[in-house]
Amino acid sequence: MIFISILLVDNVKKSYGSFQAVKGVSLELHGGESIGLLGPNGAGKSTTVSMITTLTQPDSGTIYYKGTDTASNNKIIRGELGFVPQDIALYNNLSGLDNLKFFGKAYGLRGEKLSKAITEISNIIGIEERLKDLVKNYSGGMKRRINIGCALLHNPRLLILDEPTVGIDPQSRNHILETVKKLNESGISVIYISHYMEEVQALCQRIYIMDHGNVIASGTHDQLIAVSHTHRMVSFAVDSNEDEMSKLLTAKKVQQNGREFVISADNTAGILTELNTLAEQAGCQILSYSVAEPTLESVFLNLTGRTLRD
Amino acid sequence: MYISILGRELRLILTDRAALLTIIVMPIVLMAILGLSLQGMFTESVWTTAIPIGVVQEYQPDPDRQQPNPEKIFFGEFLENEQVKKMVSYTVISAAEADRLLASEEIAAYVVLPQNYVAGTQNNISLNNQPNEPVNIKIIADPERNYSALVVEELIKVFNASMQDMTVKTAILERSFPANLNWSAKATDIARFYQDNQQEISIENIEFDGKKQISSFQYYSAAIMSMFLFFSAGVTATRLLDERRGYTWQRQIVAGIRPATIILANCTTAIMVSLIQMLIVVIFSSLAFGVAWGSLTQAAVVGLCAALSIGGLGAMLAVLTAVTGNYKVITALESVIVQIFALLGGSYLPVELLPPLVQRLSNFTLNGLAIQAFTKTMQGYNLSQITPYLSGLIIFAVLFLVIAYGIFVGKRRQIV
Ligand SMILES: Nc1ncnc2c1ncn2[C@@H]1O[C@H](COP(=O)(O)OP(=O)(O)OP(=O)(O)O)[C@@H](O)[C@H]1O
Ligand SMILES: [Mg+2]
Repeated sequence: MIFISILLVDNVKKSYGSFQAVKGVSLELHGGESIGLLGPNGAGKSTTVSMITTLTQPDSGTIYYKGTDTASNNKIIRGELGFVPQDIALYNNLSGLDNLKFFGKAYGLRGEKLSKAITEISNIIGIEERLKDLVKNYSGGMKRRINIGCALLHNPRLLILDEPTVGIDPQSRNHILETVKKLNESGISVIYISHYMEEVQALCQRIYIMDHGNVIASGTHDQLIAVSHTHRMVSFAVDSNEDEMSKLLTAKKVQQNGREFVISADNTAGILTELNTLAEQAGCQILSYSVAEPTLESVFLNLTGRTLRD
Repeated sequence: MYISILGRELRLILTDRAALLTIIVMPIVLMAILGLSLQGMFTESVWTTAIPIGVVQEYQPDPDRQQPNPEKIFFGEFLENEQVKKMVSYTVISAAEADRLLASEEIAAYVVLPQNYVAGTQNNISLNNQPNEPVNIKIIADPERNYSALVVEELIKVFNASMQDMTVKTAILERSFPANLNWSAKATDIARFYQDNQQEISIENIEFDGKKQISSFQYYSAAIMSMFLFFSAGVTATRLLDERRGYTWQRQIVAGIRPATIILANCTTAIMVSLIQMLIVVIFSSLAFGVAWGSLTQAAVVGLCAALSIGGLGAMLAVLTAVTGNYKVITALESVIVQIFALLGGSYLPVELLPPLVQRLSNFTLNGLAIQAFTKTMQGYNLSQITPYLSGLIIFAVLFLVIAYGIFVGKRRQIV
């Protein structure tokens, strides 16, 4: 077998008790590439990543890193992996610096090498002044930055970030996104997990969309959009009788907010005529009408009938 | 890496106020409370059997002597008093016989009434103008049964006090032993009474076999410290679960640290924390309460053995929590198991006051073994005499480690 990708996930499954969290996920990552895992809460993103990091064993399926089955040799991936867990995995009662020191040592760094790495990383994550404060006194954004920093000290070749921007201010968020982008540009392969399509769109060359334990679509941003190029999000508003209108629209995928509707239409050409006919039947008038450019959001909506975030 | 983890853990625990409160402040407070409140030694209604004692008469018995005859009062009224009979049962024996029975532990103590007992006491309590003459009553006690000895001593003191003024004798006996008074109330009553009635009859505590009696403070320092050792294991095991919950465990594993290394470092932390705990408690109790711990080198050896068994326990708890992934094991230890062991092992009450079955069980408790080893060291027993207890502690350490290892290997998949 020839592996052009550094990471190949082949049909992995994982159940917790009778509940199947991951139902057969396959994905690949080329060297230097950045891929995104996009999906709503409970889609199985973290479980998939946990299997890649070898923290969880798949029930079936195989994960190859550089051609080696990671189940039989987990050292091969662990040594080159930088993993930023979804939760802040830090010692709250130690300072940021001591956390960096400890995890640096965990990766085998000592002395000169360690302090150099710490200087460099604290520079990258932009948290130099308050490094000596206890982590528990940090803001959410600072905790997230140290959380990332601890995964970078040993100069990993593969970086996995599980929702690294949850619950933080826009400034920290932008800083983190830029950091990841720079790291990727410097040659580090990245798996970025999120349920924010803008983040994935901005960072990742290819995207896997997950839902209910499955990959439901994958490809580059443009490919994903193209797949559903005929699908558009159509927004319109009516002047009255919105309940009647809603009933008539049941065949379509609908989001309704009072008199404003969003539908996913597969043929935008005749849609306005069609809506007008329906409005006449419902006894109302279309007040406004717009067709949005397709986004990952609309792709997801189209595939699942739900939005990425509730 | 082991060293780095150990350093980190010690730092985290020794800067954790809640943990320090549990493992250091609490034992000191409890020690003070129990030591002070049980100073009187009549420890509530826990007596299960009367303490067997011997009485040695060095004087010439003379039943027909004029009243008030101290001998008649001692045997006929005092030792036959219903309340006293519940506490001690006596036999009159020779000195040689007394030593033999004491050595074979058939009696807990014996009381020697001196040659001038009858005449001297009679003189002292009569209203003549003769100067008081010292009457030295000796109590020779089994050092193994410290509490029994102290009870006997208190009783004799009460008796002597009551002899002071025969004119109010009846009233005094009434006062000391009203029919329905409970023992703890009586303890304070007796103590107060005794203070009010200091007199010339002295009581000597004679060392038997060169072993000292220990005070309630000494006992409770060892007893409470030994009980709180459990919490050192609890605190360190909790840390491991915190790591799993807080994902630092996962992060360490991904970094390539082996679970065994983390668990081993955790177990070493338990050893170090319990050593530090004991050191602080020993220093504090000797400074604040004047507790003498006996040979310090020997106490250190005992401490080390106790710490090792706590390390074993810590490792077992750590593995269990790592496998089950919840705090239940630790909570169970801290709330229920510790209390049971505290009782069985003699952390609340000296085991000699408990039923014989419990006394036997105490040798199967970690704290019970530690208490024995510490208190015997205080009493002046040498290392070889306390070896059984130390071996017990080491056996516990090994047993716990074997169990921990077994679970670790058996459930490896759940741990990684
Ligand atoms: N240890 C576990 N035991 C039982 N169920 C679990 C466990 N871990 C995850 N699950 C379940 O598996 C499903 C997938 O969880 P996972 O964490 O992989 O989702 P996710 O895509 O990362 O979601 P989120 O965006 O909320 O992080 C969820 O329904 C979750 O409840
Ligand atoms: Mg997740």
